Amino acid sequence: MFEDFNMELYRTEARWQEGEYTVTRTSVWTAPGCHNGCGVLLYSKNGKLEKIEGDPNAPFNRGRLCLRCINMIEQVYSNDRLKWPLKRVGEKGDNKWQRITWDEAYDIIEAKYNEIKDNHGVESIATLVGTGRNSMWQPAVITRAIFGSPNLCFGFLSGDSCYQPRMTANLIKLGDCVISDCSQTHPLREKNSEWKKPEVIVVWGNNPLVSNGDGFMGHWIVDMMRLGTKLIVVDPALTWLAAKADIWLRGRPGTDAALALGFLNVIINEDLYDHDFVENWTYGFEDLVERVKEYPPEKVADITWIPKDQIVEAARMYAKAKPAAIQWGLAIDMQMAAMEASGAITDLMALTGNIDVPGGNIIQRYAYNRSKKYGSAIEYIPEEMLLKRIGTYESPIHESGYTPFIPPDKLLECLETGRPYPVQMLWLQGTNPIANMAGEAPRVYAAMKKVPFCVVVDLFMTPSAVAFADLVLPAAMSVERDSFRAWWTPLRSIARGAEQYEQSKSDEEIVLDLGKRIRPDRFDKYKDVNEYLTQLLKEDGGVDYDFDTLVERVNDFWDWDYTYQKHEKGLLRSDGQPGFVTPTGLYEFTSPLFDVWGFDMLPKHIEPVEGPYTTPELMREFPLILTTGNRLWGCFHSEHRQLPTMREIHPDPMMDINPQTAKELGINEGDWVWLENRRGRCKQKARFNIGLDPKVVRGEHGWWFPEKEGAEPTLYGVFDSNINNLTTMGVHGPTHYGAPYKSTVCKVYKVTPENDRVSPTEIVTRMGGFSYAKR
Amino acid sequence: MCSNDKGGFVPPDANKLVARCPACKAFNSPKNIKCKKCGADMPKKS
Repeated sequence: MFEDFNMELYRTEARWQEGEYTVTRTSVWTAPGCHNGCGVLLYSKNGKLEKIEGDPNAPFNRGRLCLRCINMIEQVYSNDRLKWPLKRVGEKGDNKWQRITWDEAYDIIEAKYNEIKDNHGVESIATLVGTGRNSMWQPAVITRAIFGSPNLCFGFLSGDSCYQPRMTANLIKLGDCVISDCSQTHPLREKNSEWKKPEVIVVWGNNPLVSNGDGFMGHWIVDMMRLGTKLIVVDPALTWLAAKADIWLRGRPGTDAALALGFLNVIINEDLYDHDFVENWTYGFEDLVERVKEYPPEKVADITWIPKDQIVEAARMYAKAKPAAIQWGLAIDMQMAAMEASGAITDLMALTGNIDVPGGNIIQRYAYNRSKKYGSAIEYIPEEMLLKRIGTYESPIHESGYTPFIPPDKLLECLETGRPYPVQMLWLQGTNPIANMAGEAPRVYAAMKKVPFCVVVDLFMTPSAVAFADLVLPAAMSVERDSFRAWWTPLRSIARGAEQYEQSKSDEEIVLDLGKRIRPDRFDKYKDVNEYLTQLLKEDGGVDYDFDTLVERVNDFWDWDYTYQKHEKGLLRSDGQPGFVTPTGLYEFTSPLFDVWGFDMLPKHIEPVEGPYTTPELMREFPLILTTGNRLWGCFHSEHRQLPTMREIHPDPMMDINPQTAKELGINEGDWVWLENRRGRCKQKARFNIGLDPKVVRGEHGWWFPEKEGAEPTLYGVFDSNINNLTTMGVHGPTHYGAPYKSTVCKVYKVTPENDRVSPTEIVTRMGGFSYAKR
Repeated sequence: MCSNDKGGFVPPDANKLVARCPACKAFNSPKNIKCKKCGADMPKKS
């Protein structure tokens, strides 16, 4: 049904000439931002990209593209792009720059590196990276293999709360990561004879049609719906998918662990679980049986605000469907109980026998084990240097190596206190922390100001670059670079389809340039990026072909990834025995590792740190639950705000409010309103959303205004509508994972001339922050 | 087979993270000299 066009009309080679156009058939990832790697046809003339189309012969997206790719020309040739390296000439925050050459920029970096190495130790260099895009392994290599520092940080994302809790829960419980199986792992897609359609998909804590998160294309859900798949949607807001679902569970933000435990209770008590899988492949089931007794549906209904009957009905529907998949998302990570919720939801997959079965949740590794992402180059860090990692030894999960990051909350403490040592240099590549991921953004702003030297690699001038950078380096976009993608499958070429804009360089070129200067012993062996990429493709038992061959192949599906029931076939463990990569060799309902680390071995509910049951007094002043971070169609996090087309769709930051609540507060739709709590406030425009619980409001993230003055105190208005004026740093779950970005509290009131005399950005940049202003 | 030695997203070697008591089979930290559950001597890690 999906290939009802004539695929033979579309070509399958990698490059050809079509009239005056050179066409490159490849995939794009980032920059600009996206989590997916869709197949595209890049039409260029005289080295300039003129048109982009989806590739119908790419199994991943089958010709579909979203706005971010369709609008690529406007992005690539935006006059606002960084054109050449810039050196700061005024004070930090003045937005005054001098054009310099790449060699001059590298001279400055090399001199600073040598000074820090000699006087402070290379560990005092720390790197901040953004969310999962094609600027993950490159800064990791620069940090570890070139600078020799162990301090790479998902900065400043409190509690590492983006996919790290879910992935780590998967790794602890079954030793690998799982994704919902919509046939995307096989080149034949639905025609793969082994594949089965999921009878039910639980869309939990994400809106995949908009977010396309974690390498999962949202429209695969629609494909499944067209085949007859039924949906259960867990979301505090009424999304398009929720409207089409058989059951929509509108829960209280931050209570997903309790909901999952309620599901587990029903499935066990009604004997709806997969006895064969539980008896043969799991450890600790009896402990789980005891734990779920603490979560009867009545109690879970009280915690989650979801009616008991809906919880029971949804649990039955999921458990009885064979197969069934859970498509989960960021909301699971952004709460105090992130690890607990992630563990309980993974338990649901196991309990119902849906792990690594067709149409269930299939085990995936990076295609041909290629992409190492944030963990890249850790082998270059000696043990004595690993011991200097900031904050790592305060978190057993970080210490044990389940995540390659240092804890962001601990890095913030380090910047603020200078302990265990002062950070001398920050390297920011593809991240704009004060506009986007930093919780309690004004606090992070103040802390980052203390760092003497800072380099930013990005596409556009950003508030973070203006506020902190000494050097700003222009990065190339996806269509201008040679690279590859192996997250998850297939292995995909990213081939250059246009000349690089002005003097921008690809992240890979920057790695090699710096590597040859600072660590020639490690990088002189590579003649160019092509050779380097070939090495990455081939090393440690990878593929047996070079980068040019991958470019010719465009896609290469790894058969391991589309093999089902790997645990039965001995495909997971290094000893070749059946089972999972866990201490017991089994799926672990009870985690021995958690026991050793001093954590509760079983999932449990943890109340949000602020809310009606934990801080009832606070709720008198801030009576609404605030959830943040819902995705936008045209903008990826803090990106895309410079582009007229994207701003035509998203002109202003919007907050969602139930019309009944708005009426009580005297707010009309379209009014500018303040969202405020005890940490700060920001202003967004009210949008009525009848699907939201009247006690819940929702604020957008990532907003700054490139059209405003860049220099401080305006700083592109980065704190004016910044929802992270209200979120937290240093508040996380017991495992150090998960922070309450999606479950805090606030009050909402109209913006008036009287209460809007000083902008929030000026309060932060000139008056020391909100606490000072209030005093 | 995938390895975490160079930063792939697979778990660290479980043998480095937990040790099983030879007497009662309880899981212990590899740092433990005595089993936290039964008090038996834990084998020394090589």
